[in-house]
Amino acid sequence: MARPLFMSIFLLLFLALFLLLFRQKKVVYQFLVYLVMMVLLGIVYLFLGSEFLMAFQIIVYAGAILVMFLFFLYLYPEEEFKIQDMRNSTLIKTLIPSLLFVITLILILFTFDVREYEASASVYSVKELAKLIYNQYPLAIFLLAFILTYPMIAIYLLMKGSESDD
Amino acid sequence: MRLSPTYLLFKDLVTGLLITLRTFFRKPVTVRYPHEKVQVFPSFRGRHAMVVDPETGKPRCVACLKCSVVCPSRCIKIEYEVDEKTGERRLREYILEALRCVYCGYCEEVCPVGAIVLTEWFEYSGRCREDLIFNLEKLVQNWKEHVAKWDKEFYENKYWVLKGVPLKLKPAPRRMGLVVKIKGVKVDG
Amino acid sequence: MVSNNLFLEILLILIKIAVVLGIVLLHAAYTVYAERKIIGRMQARLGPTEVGPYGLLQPIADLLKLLTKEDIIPLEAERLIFLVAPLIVLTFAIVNLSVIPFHPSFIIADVNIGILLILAGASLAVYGIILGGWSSGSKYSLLGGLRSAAQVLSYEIPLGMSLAGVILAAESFKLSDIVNHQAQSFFGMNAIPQILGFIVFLICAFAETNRAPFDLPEAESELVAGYVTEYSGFRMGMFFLAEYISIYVMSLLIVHCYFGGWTLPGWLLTIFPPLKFVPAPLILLIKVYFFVFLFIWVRATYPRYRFDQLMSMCWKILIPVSLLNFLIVAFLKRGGF
Repeated sequence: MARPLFMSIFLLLFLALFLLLFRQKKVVYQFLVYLVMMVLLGIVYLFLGSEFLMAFQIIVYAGAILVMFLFFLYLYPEEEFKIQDMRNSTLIKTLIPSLLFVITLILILFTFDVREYEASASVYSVKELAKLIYNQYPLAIFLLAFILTYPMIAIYLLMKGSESDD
Repeated sequence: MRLSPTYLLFKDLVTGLLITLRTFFRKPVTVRYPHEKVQVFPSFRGRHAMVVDPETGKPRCVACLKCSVVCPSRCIKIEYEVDEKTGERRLREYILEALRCVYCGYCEEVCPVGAIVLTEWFEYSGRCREDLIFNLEKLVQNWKEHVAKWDKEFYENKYWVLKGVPLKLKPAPRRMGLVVKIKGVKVDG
Repeated sequence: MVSNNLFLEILLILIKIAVVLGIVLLHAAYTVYAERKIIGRMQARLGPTEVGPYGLLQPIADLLKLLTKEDIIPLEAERLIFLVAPLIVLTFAIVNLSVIPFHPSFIIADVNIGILLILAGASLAVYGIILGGWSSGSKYSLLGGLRSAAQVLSYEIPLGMSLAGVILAAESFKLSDIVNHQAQSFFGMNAIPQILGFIVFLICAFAETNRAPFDLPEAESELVAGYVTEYSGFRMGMFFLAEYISIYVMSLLIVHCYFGGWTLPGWLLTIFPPLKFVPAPLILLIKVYFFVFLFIWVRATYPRYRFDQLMSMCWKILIPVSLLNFLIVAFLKRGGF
């Protein structure tokens, strides 16, 4: 009983924050609302029963990627981030995806049946997870690892080049 | 990055840690000042004082102006009058600005009669500038405060004499160090 | 009947939270005293002596001073963020305590992903520092915040990597499972087979808590006080409280992940059997106190790193070493240890 209720409350909160995101005038406050949305998304994942997803959502998105955004905001002068009055065409362009998002969210809220979650031990096992990753999707993992190492090597080479320039 | 094996064993890091650990078990060197005090040696140059003769109760100064001449920071001003009959100088006022003083001790070394001295009294302060500009009255008061703690009959400070000067060249009152009889001092308000 | 049970359960959890918070806050307050005293003795000074016997009431005097001070908000500051930032730091430092077991049967929330939650909490606590640095409207604060962000982001990677070895050895994210696995393992504690991972984790723990020799975000000689420059009164106190709580969290994490928590290794018990009668909380307490002492000891000993040295050490040494440690653990695991 409690779980669907809390989940609905969190989803409604998510919706409210999404609308709040458009109301904010300053970019940093928009960013903060986005950050809270990310953490809230993690909590929603928790209520759906995927704890690992929640942890990685918070560690990777909220903890690492959004910090990069914040870095970007700090290092540029604030005047460049003033939101100008939008013209009609751009307003429509931005409104269409957001409206789609809102409608989907509302549909999920009112039609989707959130059931009680039954914990099963096998989901949490690291061994099961490893089997899934390394036996069923080895190619995907390999590609991902390659994609991740590529920029690291590139950055290293760039650093090396700039060091020799000095 | 050095690749010697001692570097990989963090030898220098561990050495540093051991040094601080050794200091941790040593006795601290702190003196908790108001509760305990360090011993002040007679060579310490502290608050100025004017030595008073126990017999006459008058300051020893003969207004020779040597101290005022030798003073590097020019903080001593002396007013005097000359007795017309005998030609004797009489001290009227002796002003010493402790705020400007650098505590070099030249004045007490140069004084032929051992009148102006730097006592080992260091706990003094003032709430305004006037408190630390000593006139004759205050200098005498300083001397009385200083010798009040002394319970022997003579006050002696061997550091108040210039070293390295042949004994014959010194004026008579300064040949034996500075010995002041203090028991006969008249304490008058 | 069901609701009655639920009520009791909530009450029990609240009591547990109160106990843990009380103990940890008291410890944090007296760690400040211990730090001043120990660093004083390491520099042949005395440390605080005046308030109470041996200066033992000094933390209370400090608290009173911080509470009665004026709470200054600079004119240039972003008011809302400036007020919220210390709360964020303190909250996420305290949240980490909820998943750490203090005794085999005493833990607030025994969740499956304990270690990951601690990593998540640590990564979210950076926001408090960055936002506090930015919203102060001062150059020193901004630089301190940026440094802190770069440092904590970089050092979270080797931290997680070295913890991956521990997780692989225990096959669980639960801290209590990790402790139990170490007690049954051949070496008795993870620190012996995973010495590389332990060293990496120790260095990263210093960097994550912004302590010396990695206290660049609040380097006094360069940045006044870094991100706490504009903070005063109890808001500054909150930053410091969070720092000392996170020292305890990191010490507990080191003890649980690498030194077997409240257990002693089997080979030590066979050599010296009377150790069996030492109670479990005492073992944990002694180990944690040693690591808190190490934090203070290192602060008294080492000078501060330069920022480029800090970054190059993280990316060029710590991450490869932690990966090597992971490989060693994998081979040991296959070998059956």
